[in-house]
Amino acid sequence: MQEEEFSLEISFGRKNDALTVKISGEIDHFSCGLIREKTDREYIQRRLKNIELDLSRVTFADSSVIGLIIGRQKVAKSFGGRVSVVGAEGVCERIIRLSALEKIVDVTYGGGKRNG
Amino acid sequence: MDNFVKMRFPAKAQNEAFARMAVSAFAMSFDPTISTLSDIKAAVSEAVTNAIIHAYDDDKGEIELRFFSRGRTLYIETEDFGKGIEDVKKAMEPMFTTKSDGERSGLGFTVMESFMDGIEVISKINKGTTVRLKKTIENDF
Repeated sequence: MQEEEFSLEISFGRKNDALTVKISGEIDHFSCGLIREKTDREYIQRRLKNIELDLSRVTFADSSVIGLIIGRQKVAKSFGGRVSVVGAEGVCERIIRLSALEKIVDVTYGGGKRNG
Repeated sequence: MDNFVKMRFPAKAQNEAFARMAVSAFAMSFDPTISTLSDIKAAVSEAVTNAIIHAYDDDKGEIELRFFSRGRTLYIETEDFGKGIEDVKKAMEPMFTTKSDGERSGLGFTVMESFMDGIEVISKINKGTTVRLKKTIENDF
């Protein structure tokens, strides 16, 4: 399936030694596969240390987002890096707060006003 | 019962978004806040995703999704006809997952319990599983 059909957009950038990953659209079990694959490929190709996941433009998330973040943390850890999460809000924030994620990953909340 | 919708679709991951859109459309008549609507969508997404991931070993299973309303209370049932859950209590424990290699967090039932007002899980080995969710949508106006 094409990304456009699913209204999912992933853009990559660089901030110091971190790969920045900006996700726009819906995060569920289905879209996670694509996000995971693209992010890991980009992270390994660019040989950066850390990963920053920007969730400020995520319009929906279920608990798949937790698996996605923990999975990227495992990948980054194997290269001596770590994951941070920025811009989580709305349902994304409520799900992250329900999990024990903050114990293992740096999370900052807020950002846009998009996802209820 | 004031209104109901019943639908059946193959247990494929691309139908997760479809299930959320359907419940969203059904719940809209209650004028929910954006955050209540997101919570309901997340709970349905968890129930349907669980069925897609766990119920069937092949790609041929189906899921039946039923919505009905009574007053301002919305009932959502997700039924699969797959292998069933051996130990429902254990499956509902936070962080319990049989699919950790698939990057599953084991938080599906935790989200359903936290975001909805009631949950009931009925499962029979080799017959299937039904997850019943309930949510009363307060009138905010």
